[in-house]
Amino acid sequence: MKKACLFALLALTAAGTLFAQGGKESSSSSAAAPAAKPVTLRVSWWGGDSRHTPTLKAFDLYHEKNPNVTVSGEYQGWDGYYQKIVTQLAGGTAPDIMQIDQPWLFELCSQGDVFADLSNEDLSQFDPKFLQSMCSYDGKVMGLPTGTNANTFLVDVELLKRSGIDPNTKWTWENIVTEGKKVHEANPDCYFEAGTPDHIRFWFEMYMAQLAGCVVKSDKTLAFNRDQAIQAFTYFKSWWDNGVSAPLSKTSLFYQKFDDDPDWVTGKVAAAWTWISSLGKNIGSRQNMETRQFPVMAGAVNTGVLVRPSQIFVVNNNSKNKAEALKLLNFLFYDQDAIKILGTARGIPSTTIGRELLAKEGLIDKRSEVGTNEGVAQGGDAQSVWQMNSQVIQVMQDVIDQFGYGKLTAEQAADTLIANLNATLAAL
Amino acid sequence: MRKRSKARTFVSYLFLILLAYIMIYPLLWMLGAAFKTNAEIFGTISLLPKEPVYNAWADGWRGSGQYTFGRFLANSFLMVIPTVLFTVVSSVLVGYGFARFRFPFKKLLFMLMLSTMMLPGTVVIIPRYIFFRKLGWLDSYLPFIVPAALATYTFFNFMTVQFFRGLPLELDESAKLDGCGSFLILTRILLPLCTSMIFSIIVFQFVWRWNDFLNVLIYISSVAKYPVALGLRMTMDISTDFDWNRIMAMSIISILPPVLVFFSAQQYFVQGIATTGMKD
Repeated sequence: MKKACLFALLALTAAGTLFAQGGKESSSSSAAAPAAKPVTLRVSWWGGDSRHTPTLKAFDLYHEKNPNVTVSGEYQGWDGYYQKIVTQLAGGTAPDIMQIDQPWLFELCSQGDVFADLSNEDLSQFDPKFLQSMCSYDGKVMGLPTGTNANTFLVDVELLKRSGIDPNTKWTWENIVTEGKKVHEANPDCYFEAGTPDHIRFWFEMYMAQLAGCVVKSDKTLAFNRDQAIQAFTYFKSWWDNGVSAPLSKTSLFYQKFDDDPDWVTGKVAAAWTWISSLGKNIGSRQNMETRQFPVMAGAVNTGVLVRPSQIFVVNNNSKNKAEALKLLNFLFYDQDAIKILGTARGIPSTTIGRELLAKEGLIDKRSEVGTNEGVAQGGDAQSVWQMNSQVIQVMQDVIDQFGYGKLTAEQAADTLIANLNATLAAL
Repeated sequence: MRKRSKARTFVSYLFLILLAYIMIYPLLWMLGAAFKTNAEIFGTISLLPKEPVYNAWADGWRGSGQYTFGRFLANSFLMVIPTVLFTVVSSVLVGYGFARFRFPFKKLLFMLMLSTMMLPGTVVIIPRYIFFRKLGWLDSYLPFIVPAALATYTFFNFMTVQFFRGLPLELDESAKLDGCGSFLILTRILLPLCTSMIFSIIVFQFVWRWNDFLNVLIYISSVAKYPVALGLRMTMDISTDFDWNRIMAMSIISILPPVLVFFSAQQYFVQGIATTGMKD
């Protein structure tokens, strides 16, 4: 009986293997379609209605101008989009054009030739440095930036005034504490910075960038030493000690969504680190919000202010309609009508022609324009792929959380951070 | 004596009402939120909207312009109803087979079947995806319906096996004595005793398939075929502003079908839990 069981199992495994090998794809032989033939292009992106509607409209216009091409949009919200793209790339069913987030580019490209090389296309409308540092892998341009996104420091002018702070203060690391604490002093319910755990991490990374260049260098080593880490932790402790931001026990509920915090919505928090692309959502129905530049310490090598593409459009390397996909991208980026229809659905355009046209038509929100220019002017180096790695981020977040809850002193936090980062980086 | 029992009833009812209120509070809040603006949703905790807005239902139903929410609802029904029906048929047959017949390798096959239940679903996502791609079934509802027809929802197979084992063998034997074949034994003798179990399968499977997000996310790519779970989240973005009241309004519409199924099958369903001793 035992033997029979064993045989049955073996047979099953063998059948499974045969089956898995027998199903090899045979569709790779089909040739590129002739120009006039009807073509369906699949384009995927994430977003909200403010992005879905104009994008679909632009596709309609393209179909009008090129009746043989039908563009079908595969759009959804942010949740699950990354998982879907990864699965589709793995399964060979990815759309012809995909919108991806800049930090994914390295991770996805390192899995093989998944995206088409765009180096030989006409890229004169884009900032070459931007393409080089943000949209390239292995020296080849892999995608086109849809827009420019930058860090900005959002402040509530009214609340600052009410708390006795000059709203036009040029912020430094020192006066964030000395001035910022006045908000809490004026009204114990109010705080200066949103101070969710992720915000403290963003500020920490910026502080480190100015102090030591960055957190993790592109050669996978740490850029900072123990003293610098202690200095940084001690500095952020002063935020909590002086009531610059609420204690983590209060803010951790709103990890990664500070703008859902009732205190933020009802105007009890004066300022926040954020991205230009989220300004609309951050501000919501709040009044008197303006953007400011970030503090930069004397002698900083790198400001730590991040500037990056809002998103990147990439072309699927396995697409059967690569030429048509490129034509569509050309249309979306360069066609005057398309630029006007799309507006700032994907941030302020990264092409010169797009920016000029929208500015002339008055289609760019003043606040976003000012904020973007301020951010770009202050823009620092791009973070290394290792610093953007999700596990590295988690390590930083964990140490900051423990420190913020008072479980670690500044010295212990510095030691733990260095030890854990080294261990994680070694395992990557 | 009488007075005391009255007071007792009063206290227990009060307690029950309080508990029911706590349980139903999130749903009531959702209903209230459908009439609030974003600022009010996040700014206050009151249940009733102070300045009610009524456009959420119509706007949410209209969606992004290409398809209305009705399309997503219809898609969900197209996907869920066949899946549920096939699950009932296939798991009853499989359960009957394992419970009443003797055949070679029965124990081993039963073990294999059970072991697929122990396998974490996430492990098989990629191989399954590639498998369905090779069959050309992606972007259709076949990856949900066909596996249901082939009894791959092990949980229900196990449930039916256990249920059939609980029915006395004497019933089968007496029917056999009267010349009844094995299929007729199932349909004429056993199934009439199984209504509670069948309703349990229907309710469980309906609710699970209806709410399933990950699988539909992976298998369905064109918006025209999105079921409710995807349609609802279509406008929820991290960086752009969206109206939560529309999401709340459409969420309420989307929970109606499972709720209706549950209440219409409730009588049998509760019996089913009691007799099979299982829940969720």
